[in-house]
Amino acid sequence: MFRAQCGACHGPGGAGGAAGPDLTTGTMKRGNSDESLFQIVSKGIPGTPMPGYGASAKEIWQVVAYLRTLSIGKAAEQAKGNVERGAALYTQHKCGGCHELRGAGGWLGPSLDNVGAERSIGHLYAALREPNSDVAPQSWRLRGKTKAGAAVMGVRINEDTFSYQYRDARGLHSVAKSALSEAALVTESAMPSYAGKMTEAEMDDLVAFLANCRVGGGR
Amino acid sequence: MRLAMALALFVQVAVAQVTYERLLHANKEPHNWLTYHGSYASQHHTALNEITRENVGRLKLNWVWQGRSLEKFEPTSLVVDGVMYFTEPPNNVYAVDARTGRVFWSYRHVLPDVTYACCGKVNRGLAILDHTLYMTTIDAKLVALDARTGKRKWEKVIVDYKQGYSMTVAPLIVKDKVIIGPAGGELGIRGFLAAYDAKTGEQVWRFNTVPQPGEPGNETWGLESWKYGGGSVWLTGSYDPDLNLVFWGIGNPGPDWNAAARPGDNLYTSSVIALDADTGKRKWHFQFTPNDAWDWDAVQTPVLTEVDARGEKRKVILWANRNGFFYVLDRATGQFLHGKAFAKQTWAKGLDDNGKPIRNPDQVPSAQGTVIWPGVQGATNWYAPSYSPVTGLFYLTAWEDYWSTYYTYPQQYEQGKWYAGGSVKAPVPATNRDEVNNKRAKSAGYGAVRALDPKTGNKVWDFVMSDVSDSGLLTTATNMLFSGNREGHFFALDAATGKLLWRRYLGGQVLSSPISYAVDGKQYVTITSGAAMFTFSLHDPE
Repeated sequence: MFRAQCGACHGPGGAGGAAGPDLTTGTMKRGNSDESLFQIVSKGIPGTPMPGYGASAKEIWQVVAYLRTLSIGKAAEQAKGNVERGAALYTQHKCGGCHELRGAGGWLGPSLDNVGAERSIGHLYAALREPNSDVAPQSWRLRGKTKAGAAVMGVRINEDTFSYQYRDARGLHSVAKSALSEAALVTESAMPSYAGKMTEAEMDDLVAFLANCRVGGGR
Repeated sequence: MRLAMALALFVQVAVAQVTYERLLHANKEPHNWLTYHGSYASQHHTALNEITRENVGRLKLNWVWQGRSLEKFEPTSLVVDGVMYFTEPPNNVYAVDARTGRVFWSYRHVLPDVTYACCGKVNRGLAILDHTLYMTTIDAKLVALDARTGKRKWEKVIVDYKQGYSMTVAPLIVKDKVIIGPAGGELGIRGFLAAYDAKTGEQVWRFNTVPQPGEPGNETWGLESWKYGGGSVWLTGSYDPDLNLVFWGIGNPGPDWNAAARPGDNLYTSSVIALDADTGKRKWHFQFTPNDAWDWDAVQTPVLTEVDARGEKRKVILWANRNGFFYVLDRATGQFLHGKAFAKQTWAKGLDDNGKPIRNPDQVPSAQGTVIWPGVQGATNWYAPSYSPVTGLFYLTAWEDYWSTYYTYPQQYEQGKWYAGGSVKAPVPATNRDEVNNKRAKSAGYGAVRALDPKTGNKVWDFVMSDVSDSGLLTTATNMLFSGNREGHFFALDAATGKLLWRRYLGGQVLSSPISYAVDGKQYVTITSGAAMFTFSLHDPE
């Protein structure tokens, strides 16, 4: 689908062509989230040569998934910052307070062991600058209140028709939906934005460090 | 408000962790099941008392966990503050809500295509220390997982599995060490018990259960037989903190049924060893079956208690062995206090004053086959016995009147090949996987839950079953005994009399030991059956 529909402008390998930008850099100018890619592929970008692709939602998601493969795993080579300085920033900003990395650190946020292989470089920048822009459902949090009035707040790790399982700072919990008077899934990230908390050069360094966090490779 | 909640969530506060102190005093928190055997004394007894002889008839099924593996399901779960942790064979790990069975996380260990487990890719369970769970694997690794997330912290290769080693034992934590050893007694391994640093997985000490040249005991292996001598480790031991000794039962010598290939006592096979927990140095050993010719691993639970023996109260180990004899040993010295046969056996005329068997010379494997009691699976085996401080009785699962025909033949060792030096036939199958229906005569062998008086070794009562059983036992503070059996029943007996109080048919063979725990003050009882796990309480399911 990509070669037939997109390759003419973006190049057969997605590295850019006469009319379309390079899609392998890991940074999408018009939006890095899966959702924004889906919108662009399906509806096009008005005022540009980019047309909408009138295919089924399933096919468009397949194109989005393929687009991801053009940059996923390439973050380390695309990073321009300094890995050692990035490591120091990781410590300085206490990222390990929530994130586990190589067997150490917190456990409420997602593990970063393989984040350099799983995320594009654009995604890493976006996650630091605008953590709320693209929070995966597996990181959504349950916020609710029991009928007895106790607050429930934690990372949702499992759900069925009758119950939620979640983890918080006290450990692992299971709660029946019938025991809750309020329940909602929080799709924003618990992570603060680091935009403005460090210089652009420092951001480059931290991203370089994260881009090299890979299982069985990298630094 | 929202920000405050978000911050509260992501501030790392101390989650109640399982410190060594908690393991040491596991009996002070009977609502949890913190080690494989429930406590370092391994009595398989619960102090919980909500479920009684009077109300057990009202037990309700609360939840079922369905496994996805068809390997034999042999784990005993851990329960820590409302979370149950267990393994599914071969080496998957689950954390579930102990009230509902709903899954928090799961972990999958990927095995190589070819491994060397003798008798199924089984696993018996986990150990926990602080926030870390420990599991041994069929490819002979030690894996450490974060108990909160199921994420792997590290894994270490313990020994080269391609040489016939596998690991199925639930680790024992003592202080800051993880104590484990390898299986493979039918594949010519050379066994050991070893301790690893709980933080790093680095080896701290190692005791060779088949001594190398230069080590004491190597002289008990004629014809260079120590090289492939077996001495496997596949059931968790016990620990006495006052003596700082770990007690561990060691597997059979190899080749299993060709004792002539390994003249001598073959230390420390078919023995219990007592090692210093800090150094791994041997304090004492006691060999139940010298020059074992029948595959009677001493992989039974070392049950620690105090009883009157030889005129005074002694700190003892109670041990019902696969060879058909019940032993009471002083656990400070290893001295044999007394013992006697607890089931039909024909291989020995009795025990001498030191507990050594007086062998019947005709009752050994032969080329044409010899019929011997007990059969190859033993008069009991690895499933847990129980000691009740309430009744003062020792309980075990016995295989009564059970025999095998034992054959021996010469065999050369080949790496990765079965190295048993013979074969066996028995009317009672090793497991019921193939033949589901029981159409045997009782004289072919049957099962019993058996109560013994540890002061004398005499039988107090029997609960007789049509088929044999591979289920362990649990006694309760309320004078009950829970067990399952191969037929697929789960039941409660009166611990004082053996009378049946309650039963449920679960439909699959029980290959583990029941446990009990409590959450929010409600007592639960859990057992495996088939590939599933069943949990009961007096309350409606949540």
